[in-house]
Amino acid sequence: MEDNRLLSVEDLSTFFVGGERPVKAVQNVTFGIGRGEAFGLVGESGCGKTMTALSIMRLVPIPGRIMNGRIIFEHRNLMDLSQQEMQQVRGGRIGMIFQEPLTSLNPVLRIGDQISETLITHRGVTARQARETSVELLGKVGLDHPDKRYFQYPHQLSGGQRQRVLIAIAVSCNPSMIIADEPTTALDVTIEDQILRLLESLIAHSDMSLLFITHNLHIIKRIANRVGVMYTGRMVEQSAVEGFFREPLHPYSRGLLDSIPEFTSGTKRLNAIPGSVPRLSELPSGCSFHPRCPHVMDRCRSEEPMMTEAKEERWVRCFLYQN
Amino acid sequence: MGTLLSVSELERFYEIRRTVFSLKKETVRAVDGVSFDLEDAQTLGIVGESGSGKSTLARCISFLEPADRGDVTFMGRDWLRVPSKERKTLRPQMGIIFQDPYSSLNPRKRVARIISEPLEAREGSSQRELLRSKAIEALEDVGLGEDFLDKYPHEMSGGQRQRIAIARALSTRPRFLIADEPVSSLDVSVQAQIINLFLDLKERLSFAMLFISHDLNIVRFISDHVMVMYRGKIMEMGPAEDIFQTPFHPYTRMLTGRESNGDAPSAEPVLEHQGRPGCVFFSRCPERNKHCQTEVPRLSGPGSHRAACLQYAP
Repeated sequence: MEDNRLLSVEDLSTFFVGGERPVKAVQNVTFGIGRGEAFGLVGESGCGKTMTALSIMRLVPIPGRIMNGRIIFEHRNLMDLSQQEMQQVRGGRIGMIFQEPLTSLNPVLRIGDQISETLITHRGVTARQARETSVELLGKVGLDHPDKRYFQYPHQLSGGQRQRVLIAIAVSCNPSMIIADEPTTALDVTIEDQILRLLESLIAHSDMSLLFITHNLHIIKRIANRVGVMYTGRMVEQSAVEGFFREPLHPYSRGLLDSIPEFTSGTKRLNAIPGSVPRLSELPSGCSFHPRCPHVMDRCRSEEPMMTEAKEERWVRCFLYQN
Repeated sequence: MGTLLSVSELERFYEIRRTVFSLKKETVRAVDGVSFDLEDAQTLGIVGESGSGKSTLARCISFLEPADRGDVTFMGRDWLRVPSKERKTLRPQMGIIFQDPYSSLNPRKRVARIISEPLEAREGSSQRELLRSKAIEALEDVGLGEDFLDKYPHEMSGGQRQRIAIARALSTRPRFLIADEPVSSLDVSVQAQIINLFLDLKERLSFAMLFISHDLNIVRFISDHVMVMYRGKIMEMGPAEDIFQTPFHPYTRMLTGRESNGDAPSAEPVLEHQGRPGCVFFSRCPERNKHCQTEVPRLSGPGSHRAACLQYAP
């Protein structure tokens, strides 16, 4: 397993400093992704999943700062790299796909040129070669008439088509990992299905790894091998997908699944989690989930649980599983 | 149980120019001949991709937008043509909730004002005490306390705002509620709370509901009947469980994930298909044949479960 590791994030903490108190967007997050593996990161808005991804790429916006942690990617600690070396990693070794396909493409450049740009920067090919490869890539991601599409502008494409272009850019340099942050959230279900199938086939035909960030558990079930659940900046559970959907361990994971009609154990009503996600600047003491937890104990109010291995390959941050 | 709302052959077309400089105007059929009935205290779920006309339909029914043709009968009255004075007296019977609780609440008004506005329209603004007590009652309906009366929208979370929107819509105790994507912008755990709230309130206050969503699982959970729309037309309609367990229409099967949709184009309104003869779903349909290109399928089928597809005509 260890040799097979492509990425390991160790004890990562990213805080936003400058206010009265630092906002702890990501706190002591540890996880790893093997080659060819699809890791799904789930959680509600503000739980730190996007900040985790941005930290890996060292793109945390100011005044955010990575306070602590190691990010070992392809046997190098990304924290030690210079900005220049980091730029070679971004787009070259790690491809990125974001949620809003409209805002992540440049509206005044032809889509083909936007793909070529990546190829010229990272692979140092000539403009002519870049164009040929770009057309090939547009075909590979399932756009019709790729040679004509090359000359189109983002506004001439639909949402799904734009997302395909972003995927083409992300895979253009044969990265070993793709980070996809809510890539289908803005799309219709039918288009979402197409985009997921495209990602699935791209992964299946290479040993590319995927870090998939979403709030949608249906997608996790479909695309990921392993899943990590985040709540208020902390990873609260990490598990293989099958086990997770059969028996979620953390009370928050259980609550998330019960909030969805398809997975709920309620029949007439959903077993909703009471309360709402606390603000990161006003986190409760002890375990941050304790005010909403149905299994809360005295200990949870004052002490913070550690991540422990509850079962084989299953990690959870909860006192229920600590003897 | 009587029929509360009856919509018949409703049409709403838009004229658009393909680009700013186009001389030619083209027609988008946002709602194209939609007919259905809604019984008292029933929930009708409307599903479909973006651009299928779900919201336009809701806006026409609620008279936020004029319909071009067709009839809407609401509580026995010709809703689209009643004199505006009479419409005003009927208005409180129809509540509306929108998708985005961030833009649907006036940021400069306190919750007390937001909630009592529909009441004020009915009761007059002189009834201060009555309005306040009704506003508190409405807040309690949605699980919030009196202390929310003096808050501004920005002081609340998304879930709380959506509760305020629900309190406002139900403050007049309407018999009919239109909810247009009411949980789509909320987080999963809050979504579940709001859905439960809808179910509780419906049980207690018994109103009919038009529930629009692109999330099929939620629609299935909350609705008695379901209507599937595509490019302004009804593709399939029937009891919720029938629709999800034995979908007739290829489009419904695509939405419910029973059939892969190939690499078909998206549902965003494509002008070329507008006004052409034949089935609107033709270009994406995996089961099309030559008749589908020329003949327009009518909504038909056994009992209340009906589909607009030539392949399933009885």
